Amino acid sequence: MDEIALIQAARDGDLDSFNRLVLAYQDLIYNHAYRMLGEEEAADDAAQSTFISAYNHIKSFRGGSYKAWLLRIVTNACYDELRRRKRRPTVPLEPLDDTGEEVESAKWMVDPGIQPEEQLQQAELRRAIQHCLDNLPGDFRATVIMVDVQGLDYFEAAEAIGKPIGTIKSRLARARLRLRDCLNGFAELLPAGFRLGLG
Amino acid sequence: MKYQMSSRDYEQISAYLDNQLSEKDRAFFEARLKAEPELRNELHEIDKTRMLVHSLPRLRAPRNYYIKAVPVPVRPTLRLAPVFGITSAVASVLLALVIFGSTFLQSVQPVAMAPAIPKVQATQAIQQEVQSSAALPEATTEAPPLMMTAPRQEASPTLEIGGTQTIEIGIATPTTIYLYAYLPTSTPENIVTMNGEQVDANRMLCEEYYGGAAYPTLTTQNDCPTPTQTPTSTPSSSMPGQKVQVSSSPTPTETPTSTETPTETPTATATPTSSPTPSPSPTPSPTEMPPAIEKVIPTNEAASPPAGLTAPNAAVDTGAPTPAGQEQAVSSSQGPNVSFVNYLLLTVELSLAAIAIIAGIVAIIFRVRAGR
Repeated sequence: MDEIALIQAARDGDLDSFNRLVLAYQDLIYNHAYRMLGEEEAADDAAQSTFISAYNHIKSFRGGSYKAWLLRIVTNACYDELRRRKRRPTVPLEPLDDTGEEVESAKWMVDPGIQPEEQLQQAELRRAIQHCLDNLPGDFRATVIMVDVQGLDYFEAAEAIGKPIGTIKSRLARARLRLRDCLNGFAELLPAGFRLGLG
Repeated sequence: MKYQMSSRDYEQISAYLDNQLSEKDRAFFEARLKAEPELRNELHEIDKTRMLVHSLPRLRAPRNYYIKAVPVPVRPTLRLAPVFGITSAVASVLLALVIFGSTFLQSVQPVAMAPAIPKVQATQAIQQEVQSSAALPEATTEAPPLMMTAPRQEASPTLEIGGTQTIEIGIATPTTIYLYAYLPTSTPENIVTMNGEQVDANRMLCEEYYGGAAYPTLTTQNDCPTPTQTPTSTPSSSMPGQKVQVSSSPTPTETPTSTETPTETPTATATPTSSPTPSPSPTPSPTEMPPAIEKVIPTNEAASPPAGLTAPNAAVDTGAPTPAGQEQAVSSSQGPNVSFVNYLLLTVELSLAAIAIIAGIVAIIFRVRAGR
């Protein structure tokens, strides 16, 4: 059953068809929410609220890219969470491992195929990139995540964000420039082939 | 010195890396890359940044976000959208009915309000008068009969008086009564009475008639001459007595629809020189000819006979008021009631229109919200 038929069945009230669409897009939505918020629990909440909202408003979907439609919902949910954080800033509690030390990355993010030293370097690099993403404004962050993380083209990103393509180009260019400047501070963490020049 | 890149340059770099430049722009940018090493350095750094971000792993959802159907007791809610829609439709229908009804009533009212064409039924008394007046001395010229029709502005042709200057009184047709306002000099006294009270009453009725709602544009100034007002077209007004105007129809059997204008009430009695009761003279001389009667006041004529024909017979007098006169009196009293009804209808129409519009808008809003 193709996506269009599933969507039509879901619009007609078929819950199974909708859950099949959930299964197809939940990783994408969760990944996007995590990159936007930087936290697993917040990303989990945002993903769940996204699919609940999508089910409640499935009849308002009038065609086009279903992926862009879902990304728009999750982006708005992330914006709401970011605004809530600004009003009530919190210090996230890092999870503890068996030794009582803080776990800096989720277990499912660990690639068992590489050496521990490399795992540590990769983990630190990801943290640095995520740290630089977190320092971007919300609209810049969403744009660079959609294009550079999710792999959307300019048209899909414009549809998901709800802005013109010219705005997408401008935000993307400025977001990459800021990321470049932010990652320059983590030069020692960057692999040899990815080390950026200073000026 | 570090090369200063503009925001436009960084946009072109990002678009170039994402293959979003047109052919023309791509060629131009590549030419710049060859010529500007700083631009190349920035391009490489942005490209590495993009790749670093792209290298972030694709995370998997920690769990499935399936939607589970949980039976929830549904509270019976009142669907407001159909309620407002039906309300709007009903209000629209009622508004249409009210507008149609008011339009229909207004089209009927003027017929009822306007003074009817005074086709006074020929009573026996009037017939007697006519017959008796027919026995008057023959005049070489016929008196123009007083046509009892709706008042008209155009002046009737002037009466040409011949040599003898006598005016015959015509005989009324079965359907139309001709009331002759001109008093032949030889008119018997039992038919013609010129007294001041009758003239004043006629003038008052004339003013009331023209000042009523039926003919608001007409003024009483010219149509209801005062005692000092002279008739508009009078070949000779030297004749003492009334100044009565009648239509200049030569034949007494003409239909009332011929060109007639409202007559002025005889005001001869108001003139200082006129005597209340003109003395009958044998033959009117040219200088003594009464002025040509131009206008006819149908209602006044119907309400009260002209001064010239006031007879002792009560049947002719206002003792038997005509329907037109009654309608004239009734119409004036119905003015305020009509205005109230009109205002009431207008209020009802506006209320229904407001209800229809507001209910319709609310119904649309509810439906849009339900659709979302």
